[in-house]
Amino acid sequence: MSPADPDGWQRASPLSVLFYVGQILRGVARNLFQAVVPATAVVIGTGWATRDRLYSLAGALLVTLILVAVGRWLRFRFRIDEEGIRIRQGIFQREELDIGYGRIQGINTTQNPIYRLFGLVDLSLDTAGSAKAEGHLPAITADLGDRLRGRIRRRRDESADGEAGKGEADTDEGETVLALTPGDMVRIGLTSNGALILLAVLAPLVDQLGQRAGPWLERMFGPVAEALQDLSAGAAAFVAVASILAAAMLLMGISILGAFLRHHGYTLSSDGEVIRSRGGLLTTHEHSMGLGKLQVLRIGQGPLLRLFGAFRVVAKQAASHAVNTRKSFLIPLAPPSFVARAPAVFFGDEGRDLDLRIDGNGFHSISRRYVRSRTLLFGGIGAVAGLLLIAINVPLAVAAVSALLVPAAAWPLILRRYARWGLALTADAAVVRQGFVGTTLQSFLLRKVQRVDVVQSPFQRRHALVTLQFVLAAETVTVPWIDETVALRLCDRVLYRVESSRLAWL
Amino acid sequence: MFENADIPLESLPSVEEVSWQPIARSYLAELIAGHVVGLGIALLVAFGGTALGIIDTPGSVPKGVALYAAVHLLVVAVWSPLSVRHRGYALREHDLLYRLGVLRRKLIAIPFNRIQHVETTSGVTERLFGLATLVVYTAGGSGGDLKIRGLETDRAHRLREHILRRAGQADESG
Repeated sequence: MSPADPDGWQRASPLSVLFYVGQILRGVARNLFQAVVPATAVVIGTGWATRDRLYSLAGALLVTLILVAVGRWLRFRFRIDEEGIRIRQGIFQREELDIGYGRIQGINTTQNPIYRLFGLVDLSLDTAGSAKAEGHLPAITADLGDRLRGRIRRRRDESADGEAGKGEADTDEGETVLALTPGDMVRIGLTSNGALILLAVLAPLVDQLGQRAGPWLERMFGPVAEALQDLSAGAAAFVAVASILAAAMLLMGISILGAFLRHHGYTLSSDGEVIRSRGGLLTTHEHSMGLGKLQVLRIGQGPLLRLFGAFRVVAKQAASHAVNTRKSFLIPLAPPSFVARAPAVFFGDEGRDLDLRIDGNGFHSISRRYVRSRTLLFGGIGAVAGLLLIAINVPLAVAAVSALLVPAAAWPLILRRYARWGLALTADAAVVRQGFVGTTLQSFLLRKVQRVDVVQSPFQRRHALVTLQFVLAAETVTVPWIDETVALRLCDRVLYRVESSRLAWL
Repeated sequence: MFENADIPLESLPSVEEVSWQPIARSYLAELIAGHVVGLGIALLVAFGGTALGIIDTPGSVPKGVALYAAVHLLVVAVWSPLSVRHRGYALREHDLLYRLGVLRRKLIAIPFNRIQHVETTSGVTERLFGLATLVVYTAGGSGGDLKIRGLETDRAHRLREHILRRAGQADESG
């Protein structure tokens, strides 16, 4: 490793051993049930395990862990040259990985507190290929990371208009388009879906816990309860409710803490070509994405986010179907003012006239027949359910009522969903709104569409309606129940935009 | 020189006005033959096995299999001609269109400049009837985005070559 030759083969910092230790431990944890649990059972079950032997076993495992990590570091070489990034790694199974600049969709760096002391970062590359082929450079200098960014940008500029590069280092971060406050962290924590799911899973458990704890608490606080004799029946219920609330508060606290850890000091900046986010309390995460790689922009608002009047924005890139969440660029919380600017930020000139406000009035609604078709569907489900109830000797009246109840209950929900569906179109882009409890907008540039499907069910054919699907490299955008001739015009228009486009879609 | 003339929507080429090419007639025969072979094997196992005493089943089982085979064949005989008639493809200057479906109809349009790769495949029964399947991939769908079954082998190969060439040209200009 010689700093004089930045294009030559280089080795990562010795501190990357830390990264490898983590990587190995993660690997072991993932195979815990297949390997570690049976092995432990054997070790303990056979009576082989004396205290001394266990200590020496643990010591041997630790030494192996460190040796493997050091070995991985020693075998790791990388090189950043004109063509792209080349990586050579692997102890037993050697791996040679070359990634051309054109294939890189985004760069992620993370910097934990130890790395920060030494000015190092972990850098990983998003590519459109499979999840496995992604390049990962552990513990390289932050300068090198910036230089890599500069290289990629320079390549992009050259391929875009043949101009000379703007310089080696990429220190120009562009304009800050969004900065989140500590208050926003709290909102992220409160609205993150993870906490809600956990809550839903744990609620019954907590309830039971409350019931079990009831008698014990009564004994503990017996004197208090006796003092409030008349209330002792209500006290048990109070305790149960209080413990549920306490657990919910705890979960929210954890969720908020998580938001602070992950996003503290979040800033989003853009120079018109690359968008870059940075945030994190202890470990700083930095993520950059070339805007040309954006396929679908999703703006979502669940009921809780609605309460805060905020949105969640995900910029989706081309991804293979081996799911990798890193391939989308997440903006955890965005105020309406940012959403109003989003078309310009993400789509540039092509985003003009695009209105991504959820209650914008440019949306064309879908056919009213959607409501009828869905109600009929639920009516059918209700009828089947009713027949089943009769078959198991439920009184006729009860069966009939439950058969009618299904479509009746579904009706307002269907209406709600119908009202949310909408499509708006500009010269270069389209946005589709849909939702049920929350609302999601999917917007994309017409020229990025990969395939168009026009699907028509028999019921739709009777009323000259179709369902239109735009297949993009990130996901499929569906517009159901629109007029057939309108859909075919739309299809023609999108095909024309795609086929006459000379810009790269990836 | 970059030009960006305004294009009236009415003048755009329409997917409604293309001349659809039917798929090969022998595909109907292949489709039915495939079912016949499958059902034949099932009948052979049921009756032959019982006759030879390999399968120790009550006599009603082979009869059940035969009944099922008859119903299955009837459905196939009615459905397949409809299904084949409703399939068609169209090659335009800049894209490939395919439509299919008897009850639930579908029109698929893939621009050449979004095609990643094209392949032709042919299975055993397809080869017997001199047919092949054309599969087109884009970066969008998982697996093949478009599968045109029942093309004469040489036509499938010519189509593949043509699409490949068009996709390549689109890449160079883009």
